This record gives sequence, structure tokens and C-alpha cells, in this order.
Amino acid sequence: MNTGLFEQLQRKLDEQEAAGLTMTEVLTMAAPLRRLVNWMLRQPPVTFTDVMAFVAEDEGATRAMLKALMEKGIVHSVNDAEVLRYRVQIAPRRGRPIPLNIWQSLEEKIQNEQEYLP
Amino acid sequence: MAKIISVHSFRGGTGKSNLTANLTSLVAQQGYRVGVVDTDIQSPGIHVIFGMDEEKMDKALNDYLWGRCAIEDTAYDVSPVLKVDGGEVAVMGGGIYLIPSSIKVGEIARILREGYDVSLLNDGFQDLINRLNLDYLFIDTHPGLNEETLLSIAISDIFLLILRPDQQDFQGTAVTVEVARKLDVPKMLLVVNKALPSFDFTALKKQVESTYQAPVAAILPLSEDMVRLASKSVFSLTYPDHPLTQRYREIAKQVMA
Ligand SMILES: Nc1ncnc2c1ncn2[C@@H]1O[C@H](COP(=O)(O)OP(=O)(O)O)[C@@H](O)[C@H]1O
Ligand SMILES: [Mg+2]
Repeated sequence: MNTGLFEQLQRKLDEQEAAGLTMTEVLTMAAPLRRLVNWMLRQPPVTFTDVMAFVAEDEGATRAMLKALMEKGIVHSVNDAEVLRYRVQIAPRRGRPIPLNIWQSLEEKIQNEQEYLP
Repeated sequence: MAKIISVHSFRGGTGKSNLTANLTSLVAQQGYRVGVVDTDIQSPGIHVIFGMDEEKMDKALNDYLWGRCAIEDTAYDVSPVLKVDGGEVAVMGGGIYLIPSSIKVGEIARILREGYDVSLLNDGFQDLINRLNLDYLFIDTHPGLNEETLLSIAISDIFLLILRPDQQDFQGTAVTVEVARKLDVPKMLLVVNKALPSFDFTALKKQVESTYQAPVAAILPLSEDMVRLASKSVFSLTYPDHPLTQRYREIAKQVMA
């Protein structure tokens, strides 16, 4: 396999992994999108009509919002029986190097408990 | 519709787990079916307050997160082991289903090393509510802000934010309140814990409410009896007539309102 192709595949993979919503991202989203995402997080998959009623926009504007979220992989559509529904896809958290020493976090707990012992 | 209640604080040792255990018990005593999930995977502990024998904990939230089992398989009905004052089994009316986090070093290390699929938490909470037919689900969180806590704030109906009268808590709480507003939490309640009994509670309540522009559900005194109990059992069951229990009840009432 030539390196160019490998790199291309890797980039694709990275993009795939990056797909989905990270909660930190919600905090910096434009208010209308943020409100929509927050609302969707709290319920089972919703229909286009549900979304339109929630955002109180016309069909075109609602489609544009959903499209923007779907392009970023934040919203996915699910085929539920006969009607198309939408749901938020939360990004799987990737493995990371140990941010805190494990003993440190256990110790923290133990210290908290001991703080008040006679 | 079941209610999800997240109990959070910016810093550790604030009293989240004890508050959660007490609210869970008080709400269950009203005849409700209550679930409680320990999402403090890095420093679990609420199972201790419920008197759960670690030897008997053969499944934990970790097992669900690693795909080893369904989430309801990790739930323990702890109500039969809860004792009241005189040592008798407490009458619950409803039930308490505890989903503990593993206390095994290997399991904690694995979570820290590999992370886990946060979306499983959201699905898991919904499955628990449906499959155990819960009226309330309490989430005991890890202190501070990270992906998991942001998610549990975002999906909760009630967000209970607990703080101590301490400058470091004050600052961190301000940040957390801001974040909760951005996540459109429908109901946010503040709880001040470990206030010196000599404080003017009314003035403190006013001060905290005007600082954060959010209601204070209760101010809880620093209690010697609580210190002595040292998380060995659920305070409000052990001391049903204690002034601190009275205040826990006030919070429970606001949660059930
Ligand atoms: N009102 C109180 N008065 C005295 N001690 C308290 C009070 N609330 C909690 N504690 C003690 O503080 C310690 C930390 O409580 P815990 O509920 O484990 O906090 P967290 O879950 O936020 O880390 C425990 O030893 C507990 O007994
Ligand atoms: Mg705790």
C-alpha cells in the first residue's frame, strides 16, 4: 500500500472518529443550534415536524439547521417503522493517557473521608 | 415521566454522595421506585453509604460500559439492607436500585486509560428508567466539569449543585452555573453544605441566591453527628428526627414537586 493512500485512509478514519457531538462543543454553539441539540438530547428520536415545532422556524430554515448538524455528524437519522426520525449522536470518547495518577484520585477520596475523622 | 436528577459539585468532598443517598432514601420512603447511579467512576463511594458489601458486588456500571452486560443487570436492590435507628430494616414503600461503580483498581485504571463511550451513559439511563420502571433516577457525579458530567447535566430534569461556604467552591460554582444555563437545565437548585451552625443561615441563603441568581433549596449545617457517622449508613434513616434530616426532607420535597 502506498503511503499516500494510507494517509488518506487514516485521515478518513480520524474524521469518522471525530464525528458526533462532544459536550464541550455544545457550550460554544450558536444559541439556536445549542437549544435544539439540548432539547434533542432529552428525548427519544424526534420527527422533522417535532423539530420544526420546537425551533419555530419555517421548513427551509429547519432543514438548514438539521443539515448543518448532520454534516458535522452531530445529528443522525434513524428509520423507525415508517417515519424518519432524528437523534443526537454523542462522540465516543477516545482512549487517552492517564490524566490523573490513579493513586492520586483514590487518595483524594480517602483524604476527603479522613478530613473529619476524630 | 420519570425525573432525572444530577447531583454535582465543582470540588470533591462537598457532600454529593451523602446528599444523593439521603434524597434517594427519602424519596423511596414516599413509595417511589428510585434508581441511583454512581457515575463517579474515578472515585466511587456511594455504595458504602448504602451498606453494600463489596464482596457481593459482582457487577458494576463498568461492566455495562465495556459491553459485558445490560445496565439493569448491574442494579442492586439495596432497600432490604437499609437499617433505621434501632437496627430494624427501614420500610421503603418503593425501592432503591443502586448501580455502583467498580472499586477494583484494574477497572478504575482501565477507565482512566481507555476512556469509554459516553453515549452509552445516556442510553443506559433511559434503559434503566424503562426496564426498572423508575419514577426517579439520581446521578451521583464526579466533581468538576468533563464530558460525562456535562452530559449528565444536559439530560437532567433537575440539577442539584452543592457547594460549601468556601471561596474556591464559590468560584467553581459560578462557572458550573453558567454551564448549566448553557445546557438549558429546566430546574437548577443550589444546596449549601457544611455551613457552620453559628452562621446566619437566612443571610447566607440570600447572599448565595443573589450571587448565582438561582434558588437555594437548603442550607445544611456542618453536623458532628454526620462526621461521626462517617458514611457508614444513610443519615436520614439513622437519625430520622435530626435537624439535618429535616433539611434533607425539604430538598426531597422540592425534588418531588
Ligand atoms: N453536613 C455535613 N456535616 C458534616 N460532614 C459532612 C456533611 N456532609 C457531608 N459530610 C462528610 O463529608 C465527607 C464527604 O462527603 P461525600 O458525600 O462523600 O462528598 P462527595 O461525594 O462530594 O465527595 C464525608 O466524610 C461526609 O461524611
Ligand atoms: Mg462522592
